[in-house]
Amino acid sequence: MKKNGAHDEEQLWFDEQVKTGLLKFDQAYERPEPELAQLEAFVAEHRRQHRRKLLRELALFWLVAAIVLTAILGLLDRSWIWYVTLQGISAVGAIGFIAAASVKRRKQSWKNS
Amino acid sequence: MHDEAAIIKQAVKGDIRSLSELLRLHYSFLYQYVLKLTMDKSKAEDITQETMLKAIEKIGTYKAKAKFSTWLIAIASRLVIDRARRSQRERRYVQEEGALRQLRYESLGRMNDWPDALEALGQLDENHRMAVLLKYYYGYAQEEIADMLDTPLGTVKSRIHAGIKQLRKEMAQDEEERSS
Repeated sequence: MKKNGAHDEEQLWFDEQVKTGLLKFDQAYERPEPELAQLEAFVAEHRRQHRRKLLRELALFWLVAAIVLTAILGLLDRSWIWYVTLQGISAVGAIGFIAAASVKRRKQSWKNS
Repeated sequence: MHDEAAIIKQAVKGDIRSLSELLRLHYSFLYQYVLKLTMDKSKAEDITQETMLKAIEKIGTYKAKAKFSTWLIAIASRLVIDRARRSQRERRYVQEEGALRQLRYESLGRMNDWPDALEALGQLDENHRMAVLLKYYYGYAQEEIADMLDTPLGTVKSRIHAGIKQLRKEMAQDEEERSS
């Protein structure tokens, strides 16, 4: 009840002291609606560019995957010991990266508060 | 409201005209929010544009749990947060001071006024300003704000509290300076 009361009091203060100024500011900086035809062209063009970018990234992904897969299969063919070692190092590296990223995200959320 | 719901449905399905209509309807509202948030006209224009681009890319994921305007505000807010993380603290401080001065000057021309409330709001840290605007001006609940910003509820509560406290302090100081 006390918390709600405090919020109400703060909202009241804000409405009396700040809101009018902000409404005036909004009015002063109101923007006219853009032309629909212009926006349609903008949306269509960006969609096209975005699709092209995604396809490029997908192609790159498949290329890199093909190279990595070829190298790994080649290694497996020559020496299974090296193959297992490489898989082990990759797994440890991936786990380490995920753990570090998780710690960084947690630190960031504390910093933001 | 009924019309917008139908337009949104078409936009989510991929209809370009519907999406364009939605962006057109909310453009000014979006810009006004970002301008108040950043207190920097040039940054506001960039962020508004980036928000529209992100909306075009992600419209397929819009679930209509919240209003379309809320979704746009959420995108814009996260872009502002990301930008702030990327830029260096000192460089940001100098840029913000300069931008605020420019905005003050332009607003005096447009409004014939620069309310104390805006000056006080300009002194707030961007995260606090965002929390205060979303809570007290736009009327979002704390839980909604936490969801929009993908931020813990506790963080949102403390930013709101700190923001409104500082705002009151800034305005009290302005009042004292005027009366002395």
